[in-house]
Amino acid sequence: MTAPSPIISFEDVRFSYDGSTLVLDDISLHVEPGEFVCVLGSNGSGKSTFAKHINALLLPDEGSVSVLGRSTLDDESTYFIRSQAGMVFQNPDDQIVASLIENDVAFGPENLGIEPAELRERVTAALARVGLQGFEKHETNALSGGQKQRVAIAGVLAMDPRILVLDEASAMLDPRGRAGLMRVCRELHGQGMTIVMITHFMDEAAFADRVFVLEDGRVALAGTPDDVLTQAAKLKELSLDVPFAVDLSLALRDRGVPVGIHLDAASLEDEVARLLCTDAACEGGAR
Amino acid sequence: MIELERVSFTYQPLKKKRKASNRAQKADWGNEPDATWAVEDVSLRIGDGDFVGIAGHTGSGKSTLIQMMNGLLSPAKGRVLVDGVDISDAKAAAAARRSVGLVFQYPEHQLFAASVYEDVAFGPRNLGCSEQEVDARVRKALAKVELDFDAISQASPFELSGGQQRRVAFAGILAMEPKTLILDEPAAGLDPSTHQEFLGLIAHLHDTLGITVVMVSHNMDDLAAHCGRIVVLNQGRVHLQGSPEKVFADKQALTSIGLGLPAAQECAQNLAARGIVEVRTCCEGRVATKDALADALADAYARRRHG
Repeated sequence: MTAPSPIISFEDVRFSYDGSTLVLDDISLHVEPGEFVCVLGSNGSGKSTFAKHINALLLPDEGSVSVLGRSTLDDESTYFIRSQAGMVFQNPDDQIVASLIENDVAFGPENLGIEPAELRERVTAALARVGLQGFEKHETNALSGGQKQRVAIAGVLAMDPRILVLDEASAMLDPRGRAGLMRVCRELHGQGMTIVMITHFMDEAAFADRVFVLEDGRVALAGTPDDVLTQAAKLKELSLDVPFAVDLSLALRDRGVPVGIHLDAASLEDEVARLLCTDAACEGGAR
Repeated sequence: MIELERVSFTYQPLKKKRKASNRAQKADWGNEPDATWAVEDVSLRIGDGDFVGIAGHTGSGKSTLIQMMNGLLSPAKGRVLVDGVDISDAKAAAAARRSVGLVFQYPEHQLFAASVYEDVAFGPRNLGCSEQEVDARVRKALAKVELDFDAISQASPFELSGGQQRRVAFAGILAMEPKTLILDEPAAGLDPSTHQEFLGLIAHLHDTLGITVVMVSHNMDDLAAHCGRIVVLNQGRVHLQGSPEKVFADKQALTSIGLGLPAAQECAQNLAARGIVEVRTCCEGRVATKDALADALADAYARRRHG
């Protein structure tokens, strides 16, 4: 048996909008089928440009991008790649095309020539997957931002893609909307969907299988969330936030408290509680 | 000073009678028995030089409330006073809009002019300022948002980065020289370093120019760091109000409406609940910060080792 081949691969990709400034500067990376990958980076780091290369909205000037083994440079493959790699963008209002939810979700698959009976099934199933079952006849203009983003995802899901690319899809949402979007992504990931999430929210990156940090069009850091998000000094240098638990872990270590570097607050609290041994017997110093 | 006296607002009757003038409808609004109130019976006083935060979920009435503060919306019930003058009168509302500048979410979406200069000059020109005065104000406003006049004033605002565009939009409001600045999610959608830059800029305007600031935000850490007082709205009503210390001491009251605590405060409260009493030194009576919490825990650790 051969090893599974990557579902997305970037080989030495260079790209520039104006012919001189490289926005992507020699990017090589692979995403395995079913992986949940997060791409972080400050404004201007090239992360949205990276995302648009995945479904052939942009084509590399040098190097190559392939999706499911087919190059985005091959004109014949463009439709196939776009049907397999669905994208959701930042602004919820820019992505809704119809006034009824079911029409909006049906827009993509209808364009693929899906028969009406199957189309209906797909719309129903897609809405269920984003937690909006029974919303078929609702008006899209009455939805919250978070709901609109989930409708946008349903529209992508109804096309039955293998890959979902979210380009800062949560940036304009309130905390509740963000949490709902994140829950949907994690569920889809659990069902085997490959997810590429572009974000600058660290708490979202903590859920990923792997994290890439871009800086000036290059991959500055790559690895598991534990590897990447704990590199506080480097993240700050890249103008990114450091997760609170990492920051506090480091502040404690600076002060001589021997804790590990934790990504989430609950596990740090556990270690601190163990260390400070708070049960009644310990409280009196009987260790 | 802005005073809201028992104000309520509903969007429903407005829809039904869109053609009638605002004035004529005003009496009817309060008599609407089935109305869903976007803001219901809210009283607030914002003093000169205050830095007030407004928190609450989408749909809690935050945007409606702030639009009543400068007369963009008129309350169906109750009244709004700006510097002691009831702004239900059209003339008074116009004056209020001059002294209370409202910066909407994503204000850069409202940039429109061919150059940064023209965009910022729009407001003072509408106020009837002389060209000399307009020029002075544009220069001052751009300096306040820390943009270089010579480098940027003739550029198209659409060629600028997102962060710079937001600064220009901001300068457009500052050029009206308001006494009060109301900001709806001023840092939304910015990356982390630009986010901090912006909040620093707002704090600087408050501290050095004495501008009164009302800031709507979902970010509890930002509210804790900058506000002297926080008003938490839920379903159009004031759910909690007080100093950050007071508001963030009541975790239950916030989580019951789906809001949270600043990260360090949350962590301090969790550890206190697990019996690590030392954290009280950092989180009782004030909002815990990361460093204060780390200090308290390091003390506790040292005491257990040596004591």
